[in-house]
Amino acid sequence: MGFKDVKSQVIICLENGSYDHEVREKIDIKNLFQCGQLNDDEVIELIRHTRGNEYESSPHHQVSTIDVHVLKPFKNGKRWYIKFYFIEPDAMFISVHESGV
Amino acid sequence: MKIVKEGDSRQVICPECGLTHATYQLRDVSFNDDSGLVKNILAAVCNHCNTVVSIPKQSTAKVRAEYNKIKTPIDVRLPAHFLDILNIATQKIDASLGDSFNKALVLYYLHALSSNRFSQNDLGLLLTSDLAKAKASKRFSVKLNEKSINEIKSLMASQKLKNNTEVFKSLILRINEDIVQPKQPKHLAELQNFAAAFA
Ligand SMILES: [Zn+2]
Repeated sequence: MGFKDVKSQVIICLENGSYDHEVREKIDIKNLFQCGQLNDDEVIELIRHTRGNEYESSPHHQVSTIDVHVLKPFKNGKRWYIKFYFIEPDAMFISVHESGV
Repeated sequence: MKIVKEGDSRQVICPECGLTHATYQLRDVSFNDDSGLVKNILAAVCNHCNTVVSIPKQSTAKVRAEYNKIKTPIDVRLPAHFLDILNIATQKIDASLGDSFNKALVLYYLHALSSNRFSQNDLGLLLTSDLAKAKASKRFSVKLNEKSINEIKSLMASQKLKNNTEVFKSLILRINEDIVQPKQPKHLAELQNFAAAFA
């Protein structure tokens, strides 16, 4: 899946509310999306804002058939870090936070 | 918007079990700084190891309510050596501690000083010392509950501090005087106990 497809698919998941937040037993207070401090529209805006050179993907360390996508958009003077993968039936967000903090 | 039901099943990657299935169940899930607990939300629980693996979008509203109840982000800018002071203090309390203890140490001091268990004497005066005069080139951010916010306000009032920055600066300069400078750090046994509970 190319960057454009990743972008449009994850935006569809966000618009449909068909996504989960990954939890490692506890809720990560640094993950602003998981804690409800960023809403869907704000995350969609960040994703739309991401350029091709601010995107990378690599196979999940446990399940090599699943790609983990990392977006690092720069917006309003801040660098953001958005990490997710697609898993049936929807998207799984690993983290959304400001980077370099 | 998609709504999941208790008992619905989904595919997940469990940190223990890898690619597997989980079932949405009602669980209490806590924040990873142990500042609060979101009660009775639907969460995807691994069918094999019973670990909470994910929470669906619909549970975020309750997470947000709980998070907002207990957390107000405070951001201040500090001179770079203030963060060094915290690192050194943390290392002197327990060399095995990581720098994540730094913020806990500052909040511990905030509590101990505002409750007058540690002396507030001349706290504001520290801001006039030479050590206080430097470019504020680093960011220090903490998330505080209402209790800590009130402690900041009470310190501001009693020590005539103007803002959050002055409060955190004076706390860190006191930590320098108490822990970093002396051969025998003050309050050491107590802080080591606190550190043990923190880890
Ligand atoms: Zn498992």
